[in-house]
Amino acid sequence: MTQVVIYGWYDNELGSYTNMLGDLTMSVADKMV
Amino acid sequence: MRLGINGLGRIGKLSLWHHAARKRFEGIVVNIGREVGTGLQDLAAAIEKDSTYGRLSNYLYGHKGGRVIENLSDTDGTMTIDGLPVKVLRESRNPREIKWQENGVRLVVDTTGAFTDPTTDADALRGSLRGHMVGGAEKVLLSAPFKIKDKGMSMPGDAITTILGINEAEYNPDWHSLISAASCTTTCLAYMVKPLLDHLGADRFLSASMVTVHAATGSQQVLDRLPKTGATDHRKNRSIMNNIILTTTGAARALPLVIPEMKHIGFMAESVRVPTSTGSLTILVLNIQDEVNSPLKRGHINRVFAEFAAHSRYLEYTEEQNVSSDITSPSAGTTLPPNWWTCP
Repeated sequence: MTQVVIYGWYDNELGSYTNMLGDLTMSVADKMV
Repeated sequence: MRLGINGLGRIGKLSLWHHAARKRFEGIVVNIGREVGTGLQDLAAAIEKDSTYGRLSNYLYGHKGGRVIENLSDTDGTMTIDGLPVKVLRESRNPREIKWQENGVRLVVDTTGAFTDPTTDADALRGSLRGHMVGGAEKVLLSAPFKIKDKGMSMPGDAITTILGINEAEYNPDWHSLISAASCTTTCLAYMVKPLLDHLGADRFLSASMVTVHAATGSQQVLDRLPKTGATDHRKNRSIMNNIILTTTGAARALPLVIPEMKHIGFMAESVRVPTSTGSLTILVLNIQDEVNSPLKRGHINRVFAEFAAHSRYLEYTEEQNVSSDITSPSAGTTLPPNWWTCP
């Protein structure tokens, strides 16, 4: 067994989350008839 | 199409910034459900200035940015943000009473954090996510994980949790009307797990644990306050300015909603809040079964992430020695991937 440690940085407000939420919002809108 | 945004807290305000920059929608309708300050000019000032990211004009145009919020009408609740028409609704905080249809809104993003249960009836007295559909919305996005309060209830068929680049293909516009974008921590975690899962297979994942070292959020107290009646976790009432505060996270529990293979893998998760305004770190520990005579090496793991990141819009691999302020994104003009990885 190998133990792996991984580090993930994220901007919990604008840079990561809101940008992805905004892209998801636009993606959902694109699929609305 | 006009977009509706319910709530103008941290995510609601920054969503407004995001869409003011992208201009995918012909207009934005923001529901606040109350007056702000002494009039619309006070709301405009709160939208323009941000203690974490600076001014909206700088976000849009850098240091040359000038006035971007104009044409204010307090009577109509209207303004333009960088030319984009924005209407502000101030009448009701209950989703079923918000006049989305009357204002040409078919798609709503609820950022209040108050309506997270997809099983709650649209006519619930204290409001519900589904109530937006009474007001005329056809699709409702939630900027938080779903939380089903009644443990006897299951996820409704029209609700889905989706993260771009992870399981977006699961979204079916004919079926799904309530869409959770998960949490920021679940999103980060999903991007930490998926590359290895795709490469190694779920059978080799023996167990996992994670901790998120998380910036403060609006739910925390600036200075110590008395706990609410019946509150059991008194740490939530302690000052975030002076403390490292242990709390909980639902990220590991939510992960199987977007990566079902993780459902049967033991996963412990902890969360620590620290006195920074944004920028968080997830530390993930995985116990992985080795193949015979072929133990995993650091270089192998790093290459898996580097190769995944090379084809991902939302993941960046780096071996730079970053601190949290290095990974926040202040500019709309720079398309920075949202997650940064390092295996030092």
